[in-house]
Amino acid sequence: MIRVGIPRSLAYFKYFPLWQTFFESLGAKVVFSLPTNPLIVEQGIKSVVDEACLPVKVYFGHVQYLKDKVDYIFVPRLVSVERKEFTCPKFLGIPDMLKASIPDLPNLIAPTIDLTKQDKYLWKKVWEVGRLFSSNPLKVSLAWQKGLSELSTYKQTWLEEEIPAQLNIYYKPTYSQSLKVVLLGHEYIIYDQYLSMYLIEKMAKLNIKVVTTEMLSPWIINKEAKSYPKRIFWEFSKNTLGSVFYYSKQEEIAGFILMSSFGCGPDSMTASIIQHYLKGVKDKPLLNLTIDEHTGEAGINTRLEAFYDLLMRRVG
Amino acid sequence: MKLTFPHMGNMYIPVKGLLEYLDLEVVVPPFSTKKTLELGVKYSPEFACLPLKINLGNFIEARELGADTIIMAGGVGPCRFGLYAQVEKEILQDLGYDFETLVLEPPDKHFGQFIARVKRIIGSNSWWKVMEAIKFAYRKSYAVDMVERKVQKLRPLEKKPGTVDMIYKHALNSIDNAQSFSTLEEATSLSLLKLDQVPIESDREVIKIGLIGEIYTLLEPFVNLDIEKELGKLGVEVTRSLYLSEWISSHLLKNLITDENIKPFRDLAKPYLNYFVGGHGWETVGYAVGFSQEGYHGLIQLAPLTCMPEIVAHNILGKVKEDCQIPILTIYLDEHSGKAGLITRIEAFVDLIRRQLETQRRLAR
Ligand code: SF4
Ligand code: SF4
Repeated sequence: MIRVGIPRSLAYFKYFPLWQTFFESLGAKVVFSLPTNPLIVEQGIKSVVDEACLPVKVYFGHVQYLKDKVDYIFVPRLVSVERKEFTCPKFLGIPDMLKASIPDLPNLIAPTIDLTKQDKYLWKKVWEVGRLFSSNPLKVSLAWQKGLSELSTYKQTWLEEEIPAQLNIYYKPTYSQSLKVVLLGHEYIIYDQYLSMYLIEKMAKLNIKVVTTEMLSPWIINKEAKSYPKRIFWEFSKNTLGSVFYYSKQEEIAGFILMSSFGCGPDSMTASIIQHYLKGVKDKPLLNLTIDEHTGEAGINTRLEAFYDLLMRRVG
Repeated sequence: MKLTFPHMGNMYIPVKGLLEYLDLEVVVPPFSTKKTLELGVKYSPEFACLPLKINLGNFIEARELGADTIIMAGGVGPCRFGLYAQVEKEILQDLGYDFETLVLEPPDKHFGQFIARVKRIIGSNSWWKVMEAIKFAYRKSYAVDMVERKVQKLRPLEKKPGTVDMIYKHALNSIDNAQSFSTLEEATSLSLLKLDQVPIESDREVIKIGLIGEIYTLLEPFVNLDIEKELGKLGVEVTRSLYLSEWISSHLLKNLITDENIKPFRDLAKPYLNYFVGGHGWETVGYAVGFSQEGYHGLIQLAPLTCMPEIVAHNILGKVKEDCQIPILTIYLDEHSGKAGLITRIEAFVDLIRRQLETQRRLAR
């Protein structure tokens, strides 16, 4: 059986049900790397330039982990998943960066997904990948459909304000009477327990109900983001800002936490826009948490607890 | 209405030329200095990239001179630059400065509104006059580049250190002051002539280094700590991957003017980088390969710290270095960069190149 490795990092958190189902329906065996751990981080740090952000380093670590265990590694070049919107420049260069710095890689499956201008050609990309496993377009198409339906189930769970069980995150507050706080950040940071230092679990323990961007429908997000005077051309930032605009109008929301990686380009801009925006909103404090490979857990704990105290004083 | 714009190296010369050609009132911000940087750093988000911070400092200083309207380039992704104008506007607003802004970018929603804003600024000027003004500005940038290329060639050869840069400074002034096509031409040829007469030592061994990387750090001597001048002192002839007029023609005029100096960087970058990554990351990789094919002795990559496209390129340059056997030095710049550190690094780099050349010569004998 052909083994396809999928790094449990970056776009994984958004798309894995689709990818997994697709490859499995085509008869492949999918191998995920382990959840991020110190060894993976260390491997990653060694394989990419120092100046890269932690998530990119970690991605390299996941690829290193998979390298000798599979026949293919799936590392799509996600340029744009929605019209006129981009991911981060670093996503755009990922396959090339991997090839330049990790020797002896197995074959990479690295389709370029660029839907900036047209979305019809997606099928071409699906076929480009599917062809490696089956010469029957119908079979590939069915596998894709099946994958999409898995993805939509996954997304549906989010919309019900649940965190899908596959992510293994304990997020339910102990008591029903809880503070509602919006957690903002890239999926591959906030849902990666090692990178986020179990932030969601910590919030749950403090009896905070966590809501995130993924829990809002794209329809609401797009509507809110449109109210901004400039098109926000990063898909992730658009989602974040759209949800800030929306949640800040909801009375039950006590505050916002933004967790980003040190040196993250898009987040530096997003954070500035959020700060400016929240200046005009009453009673929605914001906590900025920045992580890198040297961040200590104690610091995060102290800041989270101080923020919690602040919120509690406010609700009185 | 008093117009201003952010600094980027010699960019002020064509921009001022353009606006003055249209009889508009211009406030050129004071040249970027430590104070500009401090102002920018104080009010910008901590993790913003360096150009944004200095832009902001420029605007605050221009404001003190009475500027009320900003003109700047924009973009629609994928890099941060596209959001600069909006974010800077918000920060200025929070500081209590109300600027009108005109962002030159493909209008996203309201094309009519964009034209209306341009019209408000150009006032009673006809579109024909505007076209003339653009041509004039482009000519100015081209003149600056011609002079600069010559300066880069002469610096390592001049007999008396500093001569070339003195003439260069005068040349920039005279190009800046030219008010018509004919005076511009005169100023340019006179400057080139003067440079031709600089006494040189033509038998000196010159090291050729290609300077690649992010546009702002390439073009703005204040942020790159005058690296070109410093390299000149070390006997290095510098060529950049990017010159002002090329950027104007490719970025702002959408390639209406073709320039023989622009390399086919997309083809050159293959197989190392096969897609755009925002900013000038693709150019960086392509020019690295191009320069090394042309026999350059070494490459220096410049970038603001945390610059995303250049980090991608940096990672890929490791492989280019190996395959093309060319020394590459990457220098990240931010508000904490100091000249002493820079000089130590480039001295060591140039030494390394000289030693390699020496070994090669010995082996050849
Ligand atoms: S979005 Fe930020 S954290 Fe993610 S890859 Fe880009 S720079 Fe890194
Ligand atoms: S190219 Fe670099 S310096 Fe320019 S906006 Fe992007 S990250 Fe900032």
